[in-house]
Amino acid sequence: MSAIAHVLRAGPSTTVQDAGRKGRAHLGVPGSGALDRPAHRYANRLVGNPPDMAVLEAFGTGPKLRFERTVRVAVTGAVASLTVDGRNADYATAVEVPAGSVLDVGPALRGLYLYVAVSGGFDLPLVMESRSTCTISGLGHPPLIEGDSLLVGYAGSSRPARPYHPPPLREGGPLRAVRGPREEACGQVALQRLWNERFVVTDRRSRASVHLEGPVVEPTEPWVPPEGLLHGSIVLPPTGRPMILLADHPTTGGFPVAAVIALDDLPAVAQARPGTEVWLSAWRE
Amino acid sequence: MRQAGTRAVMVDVEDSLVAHRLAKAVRRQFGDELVEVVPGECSVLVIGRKSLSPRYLADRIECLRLREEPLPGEGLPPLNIPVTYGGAELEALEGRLGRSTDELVCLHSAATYTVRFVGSVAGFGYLGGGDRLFELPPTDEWGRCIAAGSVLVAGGYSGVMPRRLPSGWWVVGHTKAVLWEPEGQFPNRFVPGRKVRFIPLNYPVNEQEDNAKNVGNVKDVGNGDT
Repeated sequence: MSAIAHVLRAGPSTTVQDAGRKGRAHLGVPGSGALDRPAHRYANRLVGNPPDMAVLEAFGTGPKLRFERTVRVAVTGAVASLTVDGRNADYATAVEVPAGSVLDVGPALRGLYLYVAVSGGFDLPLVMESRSTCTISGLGHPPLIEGDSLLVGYAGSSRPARPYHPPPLREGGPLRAVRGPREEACGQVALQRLWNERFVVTDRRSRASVHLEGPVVEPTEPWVPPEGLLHGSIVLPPTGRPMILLADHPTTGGFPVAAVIALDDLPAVAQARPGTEVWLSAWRE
Repeated sequence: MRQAGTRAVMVDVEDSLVAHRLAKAVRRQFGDELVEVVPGECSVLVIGRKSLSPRYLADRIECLRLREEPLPGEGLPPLNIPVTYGGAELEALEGRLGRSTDELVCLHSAATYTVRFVGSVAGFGYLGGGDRLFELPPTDEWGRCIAAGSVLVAGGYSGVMPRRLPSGWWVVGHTKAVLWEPEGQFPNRFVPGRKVRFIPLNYPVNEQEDNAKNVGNVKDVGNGDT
């Protein structure tokens, strides 16, 4: 039996995310999916869902939701306070929300992206085998607005997983990366700066990219023949301000890619608030 | 061949035709072990699952044999896209390229284009085969948002913006043609190998859109995936 979650407040940018779309980059369809996958999986496990089920991903401030049926919810990722009918509830814990009650997920105190999982998952139509919102290509449920109602799936016999340690919330810091694939278009000066200096995360960010500030890293060849891009690519636009590509990134582009950050370190990029320092370190297998 | 991140390789090839053939061979060889295979202008990005090391991928790709097979779009009818040419950037190109707006429109709409590859955002095709005059670098304002349906040129390619998004390419006109239908069986009109023509609705540019009746089959179907 399905139930409905009513969106009383959407938050500045709340989307639906699961493990993302695979295998369609050659059609221009980005991978999408939760930016902080460990937090997404953890939220699902806490409420007894399979780890890849669809959750809400909220940027900065979480949503306010009223559920028609009693559900278990869990909030993970960015650290935030939450209430159920005005009473404080625990972060990163399975919380019961009785039928008709209101869950309010407050602003993020540390980190940026909050994950709200509900037992049974958010049951939205699959678009190209995923429920993820793609903000760039306009696929999946559009970012939530007040008044939306979302179907919540039947939880069945699922039960909360045994408690285990939550994934650490990392904000910026060292990012392990592999050099290239287009180092020769970047030039030695740019590469030395990129690998030896520290950069600061700016507020120019989206689910597609995070812009960095710091020493100017100007590529010697600003345009390369358009080619495939991947999650974690550090692209050098002609402005010399590096960008790190995240899950909704364009699937091809013509800015040279100086290095690619390891997937495991990308949640630390997504969760880094403006002003957070980041720097590269060499990836070792 | 170069490593790209912890689980992908970038394979450099001569052109997009070889890129598609290699992409097909790679898919045949590895199938479900791959996350993405992305042909570009002269490269193929191959992203494997975690269990595949880039070195293993690179070694196996080195040994692949390519088949001379047609591209999926070669069997499709040409795609005619009606365009209303104009705008500030077309006028800016007039000075930059030393041709009148009407000459530019004439050159842009006279060519038959070919979908070289698909990428960037869903529903975008890189259309090659236009006049060499349009092999110009993108604008300096690559972060600006442009309207859906904008007809763009840069780097020797033309393209049509499927949604309102930032782009650094030059806007030379606008089309109302629906070229991307995510819910449809064949969401993308731009299929590698397909021929594309831009049909000017206003030529000379400052005349009314009275050529609209000359435009053939705007809503032509006949698509194909991949």
